Amino acid sequence: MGTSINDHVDRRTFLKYGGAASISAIFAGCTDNQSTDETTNESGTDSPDSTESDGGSTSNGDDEATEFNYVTTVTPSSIDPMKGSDNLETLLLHNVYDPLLYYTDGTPPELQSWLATNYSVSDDGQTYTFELRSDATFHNGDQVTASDVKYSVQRMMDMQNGFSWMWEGVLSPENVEVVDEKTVRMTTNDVYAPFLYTLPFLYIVNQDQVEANANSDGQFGEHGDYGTEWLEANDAGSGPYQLASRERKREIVLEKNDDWWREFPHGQDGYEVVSAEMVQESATAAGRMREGAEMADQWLPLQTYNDLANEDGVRVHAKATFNPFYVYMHTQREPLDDVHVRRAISYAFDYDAALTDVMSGDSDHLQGPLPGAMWSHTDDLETYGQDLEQAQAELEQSEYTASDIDLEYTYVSGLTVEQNMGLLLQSNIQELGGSLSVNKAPWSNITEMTTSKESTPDMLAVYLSFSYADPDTFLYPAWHSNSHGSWTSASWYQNDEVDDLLTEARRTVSQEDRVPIYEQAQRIIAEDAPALFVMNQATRNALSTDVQGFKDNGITGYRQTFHRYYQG
Amino acid sequence: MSDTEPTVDDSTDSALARRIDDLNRIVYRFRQNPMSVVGLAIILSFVLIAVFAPWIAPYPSDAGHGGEPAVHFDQKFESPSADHLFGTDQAGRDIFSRVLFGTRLSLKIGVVVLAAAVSIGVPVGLVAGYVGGGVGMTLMRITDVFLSVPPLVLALSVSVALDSSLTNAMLAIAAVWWPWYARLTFGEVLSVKKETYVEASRGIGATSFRTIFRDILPNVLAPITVKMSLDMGYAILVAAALGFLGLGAQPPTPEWGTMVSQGRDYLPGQWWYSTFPGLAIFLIVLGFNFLGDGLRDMFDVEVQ
Amino acid sequence: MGYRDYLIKRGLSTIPMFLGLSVLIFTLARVIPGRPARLALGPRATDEAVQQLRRQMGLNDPIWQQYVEYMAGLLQGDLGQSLISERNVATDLVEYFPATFELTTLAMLIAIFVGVPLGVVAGQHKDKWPDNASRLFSFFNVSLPPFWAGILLQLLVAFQLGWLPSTGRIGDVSPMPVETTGVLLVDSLLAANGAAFVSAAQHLILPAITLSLAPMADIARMTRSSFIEEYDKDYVEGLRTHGIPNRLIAYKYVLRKSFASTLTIIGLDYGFLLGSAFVVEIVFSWPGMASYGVEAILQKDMNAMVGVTLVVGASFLLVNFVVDVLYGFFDPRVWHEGESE
Repeated sequence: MGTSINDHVDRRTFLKYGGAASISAIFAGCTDNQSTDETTNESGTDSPDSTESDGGSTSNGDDEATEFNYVTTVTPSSIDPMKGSDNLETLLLHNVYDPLLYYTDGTPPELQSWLATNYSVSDDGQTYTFELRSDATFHNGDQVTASDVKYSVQRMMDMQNGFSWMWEGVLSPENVEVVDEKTVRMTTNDVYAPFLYTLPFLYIVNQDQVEANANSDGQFGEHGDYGTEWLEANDAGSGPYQLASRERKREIVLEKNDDWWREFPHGQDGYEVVSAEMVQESATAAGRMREGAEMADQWLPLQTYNDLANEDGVRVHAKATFNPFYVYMHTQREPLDDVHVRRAISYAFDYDAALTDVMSGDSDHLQGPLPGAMWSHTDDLETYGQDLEQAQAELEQSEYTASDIDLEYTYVSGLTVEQNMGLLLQSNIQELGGSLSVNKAPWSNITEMTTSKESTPDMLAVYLSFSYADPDTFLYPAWHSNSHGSWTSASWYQNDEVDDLLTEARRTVSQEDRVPIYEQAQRIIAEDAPALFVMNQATRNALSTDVQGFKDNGITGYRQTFHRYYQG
Repeated sequence: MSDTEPTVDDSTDSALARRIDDLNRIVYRFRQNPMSVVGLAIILSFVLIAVFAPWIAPYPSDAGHGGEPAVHFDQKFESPSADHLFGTDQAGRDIFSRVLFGTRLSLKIGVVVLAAAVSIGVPVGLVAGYVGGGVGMTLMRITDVFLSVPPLVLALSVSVALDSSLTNAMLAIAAVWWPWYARLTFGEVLSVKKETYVEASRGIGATSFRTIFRDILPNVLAPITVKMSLDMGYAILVAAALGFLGLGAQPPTPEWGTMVSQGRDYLPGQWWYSTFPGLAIFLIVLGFNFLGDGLRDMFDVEVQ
Repeated sequence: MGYRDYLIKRGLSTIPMFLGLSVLIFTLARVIPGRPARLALGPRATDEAVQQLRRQMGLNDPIWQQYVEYMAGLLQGDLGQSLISERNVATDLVEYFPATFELTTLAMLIAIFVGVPLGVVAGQHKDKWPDNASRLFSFFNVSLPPFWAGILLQLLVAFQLGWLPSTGRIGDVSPMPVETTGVLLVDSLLAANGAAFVSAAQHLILPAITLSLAPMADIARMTRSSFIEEYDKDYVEGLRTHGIPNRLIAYKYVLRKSFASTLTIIGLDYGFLLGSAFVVEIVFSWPGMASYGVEAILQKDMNAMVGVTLVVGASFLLVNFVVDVLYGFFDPRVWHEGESE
C-alpha cells in the first residue's frame, strides 16, 4: 500500500484523557471539507476547523431544492436507531439521529464533540460526565435533555438489538444518571477503555415522542413495544436530516432539518433532499449512476465499478480503511493445531494474485491482524508472503505431512470475492501437496456453526466488520478466548498471554499506555498464524463528479453522512 | 396416427408373438415422430459429452477434473474466442469446458432424482391402490398435499431444511416429485384392478405380493417410463433453478444454474457468462421433452 | 348430485388439503438448522439475548403446541413476526402480494390470449406446417429455463435495444400512484396518472412475457387437441355446408365447446407459474411475494417462509377450485358422473 496510510499513522494524534483528575477534553474540529478526492487511495486529511470559512462559499442563488440520489442494492430491514447495525441500516441513523460524540473524517478517525460539548472522566476511569449542548432540539422542537440520553441507553439495552452488544456487560441503564437537564453521568461496570469510541453508535432518541407513540401491547413490559412500530415510519431524532417518507424496499427520502443545532458545513451548497433508492440489481444501480445519480453503495461487483469508472460524470472512490479479510484456521483441530502447518499454509497462499487479479490492486496486504490505518498497528510484524520453499520448510518442521492437509474452506454464499479466494487457496494448497474443498454456506448457518468447536469449519472466510475506532474492535472479538463461540473467533485461538494482554488493554485508560500492549499482542498473534491475514479490502463507492466533500474514514455508515457533501 | 399402423391381434395367445408385435409397433411409432428422433440424438450427444468430457474439453482442469481445480485470475472475463469458445469467468476459467463437464452433473441429477422419486412414489401408489380403503385414501390425500404447492417452492424449502449441498438438493427435488408417481401408479392400479384377470388370479389364491409384481407392475411400467423421460428435463430444470437461487453444488463443481446466476452479476458487459450455461440447460431439457413426447406416442399412453 | 352439491363437496375438499399443507410446511420450517433467534438479533448478539428471544418466540415449546398457536393466530390474520422485516408476516404479504398478483395475472392472460389462438390455428391445420411450427414453438417454450429466458430478454430488449427497463416495478415518475389496490396498473388508472401507468406497464412486460412462456405452450397444446376432437364432429360439417365461414366456426362454435379442457390446464399451469415466479421475480428484481419468499427461505426466516408457502398453496387451491367450478359449468358431465361412484 502507498504512503498515505503511513502518513496517517505518523500524524495520528491520541486523545489523552488518563492520568490527572478530571481532564476535560474538547474535541478536534468539525467536519473536514477538503475536496481533493482522487479515484484511489485518497488522503483523508483532517483540516481542523476551516468549516465555516469555506462552507457557504458561492451561493448559487436559485432556490430549487437540491437532491442527492443515493442508490443501493441492499434494503435496510429496519430504520430503528436501536436496531440498525450494518452499513446500510446506519445510513439513516447517522443522518437522522445524533449521538453524544461523533467521529472525524480522518483515518484513523478521532472523536469530536456532538450532542455532548465536553465530558470528563473520573480518576478510576469508570465514570464519565457529559455536558449536553444547550441549543440542540429534536425534529419536533423538544430540547435534547439528559433524560433522553438515559432513556436511549435504556431502550438500547432492553431491546438487545443493533449495537447493544457494544455495551453488554459494560454499561447498565441504571448506571446512567441524570444529573441535571443538560448533564448526564455514566458509570461503566469496569474500566473499559474503548467506551468513548463506542458512543458514536448510541443514537439519542426523543423520549417523550417515542413513549407517546409506543404501542402499549408489546414485548417490553411496561414499555410496550418501545415505539418500534412507529419508528419504522417516523423518526425521533435531532440530526441534520429528517425522515420525509419511507417505502420499504423502494425508497427512503430525507429532508434537510433547517433547525439543526449545527450548520451544514457547506451551507447552501449542501443537499436539501436525500433519496435513498433500493434497486437490488447491480446493473440497475450502475444504470442509475449513468443517468446522473449522485452516489451508489459499496456492494456492487468489482467489475461494475471498473465499468463505471470509465463513464463520463462518474468517478469511483476506492480506499482501504478498516475492512480486513481473514481466513480463520481452526487452531484446535488437526492438522491446523500445529503452528508450522498454519505457517506453511500462510506461506503457500498467493497474495499477489489475490490482490492484483482477484481484487483490482487497491486493497492492502494485511500485516498481522490489524489494518494499517488503525492506531497501534505494528509495521515490523511477521508478514507472510508467498514463499513455497519456506512453506515446505515449515511443513517439514511440523508433525504432519502434506497428505494430512485435507481441509475444508467455508465461505458465505453469494460473496464472489470469498469464493475466488477459496479457489485460489485451493490451487495453492494443491501445490503444497495437500487438498482443500471449497464450501459455501449461508451466513445464518455460519453463525450457527461457529457456536461449537466441533461444527466450526477448518477454515472460514470472514470480513471482520468494523465498528468503533479502537484496536479492541478487531482484536478482542477474534483472539480473546472469551469470544469463543462466535463467528468472529472461528480460529478457537487460545493463548493465555494474548488473553491477558487484551484484557489489560481494555482496563488501561491511557491510550499511550495501550499502544505497547496491543503491539505485543499483534506480534504474538502474527507469529502464531491462526488465520491467513489476506487483505484489507478497499471500499468502493461510485460518485457523480458533481459531488464534493466525499470522505471515507472507514467508520460504519459514515460514507453516507450526507450533510458533509455539497455540489461543486 | 394413420391407418397404416401395424395392428395387434388381440387374440394372439403366444406372449412372445405379442411382445414382438408390440416392439414393431413401438419402433414404428417412434420413427414416425421426427422430433423424438431429434430428441434422442440430443440426449445421446449429451451422454457422449458427459462420458468423454475429459477428452473433449480443452481445459478439463478448469472444470475441476483430475483433482486439480485450476484458476487463472489473470485471464478473467475474456470474451469468446477460438481459445475460449464460450469465454472465461471471473476466475479465468474456460466456460466451454465447464459447460461440458456440467453435463455430467445434470444427467446425474435427473437420473438420481427420478430414481428416488419412482422408488418412493410407485410403492406408495401400489399400496394405496391395491389395499385401497382408508389406508389408500389417506396415502393419496398425503400425496395431494405435496401436489398443492409448486414443486420449485417446496423443493426450495426442503433443500434449505436439509442444508445446501448437491445431494440434499437432489433429495429435495425427489421429495417433491414422488407424489406424481404415486398418483400415476395409483390410477393405473385401480384400472388394472377392475380388469378381470387380477380378480381371477386372486381367485386361484395368488398372494398379494405375487399379484402386484406379476400382474400390476408390468402394466404401470409403460406410463411410468414415459413420464420419467418427460420429467427428466423438468427435474433438471428445477435443479438448475435451485442452483440459480444459490442452493446445490459446491464450487468449483460446474453446475449450470449456478453459473447462470453468477454471470448475472456481470451483465450486460460479460454476457457470455450467463448465456452459454443457460443454453446448455435449454438444450438438454428440450432433448428430454422431444424424447418423452416420442415415447408417449410410442407407448400410446396418456400422462400429464 | 346437483351442481350446488358438487360445488360444496369440491369446496370442502380443499380444507384438509390446506391443513395438510400447513402441517407439512410448518414442520419443515421448524426443523431447519440454524437459530432463527440469532438471525433476528444480528451477528454479534449475546447468547443470553438469543436464548431470551427463543423463549419469547416459543421456540422451546413442543412443536405441536407451536403449530396450534400458529394456526390460532392464522385464524385472526396473525402470521407471526418476520425475522428479517421485523413486522408481522401478514403485513408483509399484504404489501408484496399485489405485485405478484399483477405479474402472474398478466402472464396468465398473455399465455391464454396467445396460447388459445395458437392452438386453434394448429388444430385447423392439423399436421400441416402451422401445426408443426406451433408444436415446435411449444416445445421450445416449456424447455426454456425461466430465469435464463428472462436474462436473454434483458440482454436483448433492455440492454441491447434499450426499449424497456431491465428491472424493477416502476420508474422515477412523479407523482407516484397512490396505493389503493397495490396493483400499480390499476392504481395509476384510478388516479388517472398516465406517466405512472406507462412506466408500470413498461416494467411489467418483460417479466410477464418470461412467465407466460411455459403455460402458453401447454394451453396451445391442450386447445389444439380438444379443438381437433370437437372439429371432427358432424355438426361442424353441417355448419360448413350452411356456408358459415371457417373462422366463425372455429372461434364461435368449436372453441367454445372445447374450452372446458383448456380450463383444467390453466388451473394446473397456474401452480407452475407461481413456482416460476420464484426465479423470475429474482431476475427482474420484482418486489413481489415470490422474491420475498425466496429471501425468507434462504435466510431461514421461518414465519415468512411458512406464510409465503401457505399463500402460494392457498392461491393454487383457490384457482383450481375456480377452474373446477367453471369446468362443471361448461361440462356438466363432471358432476353427473359423480353419481355413479
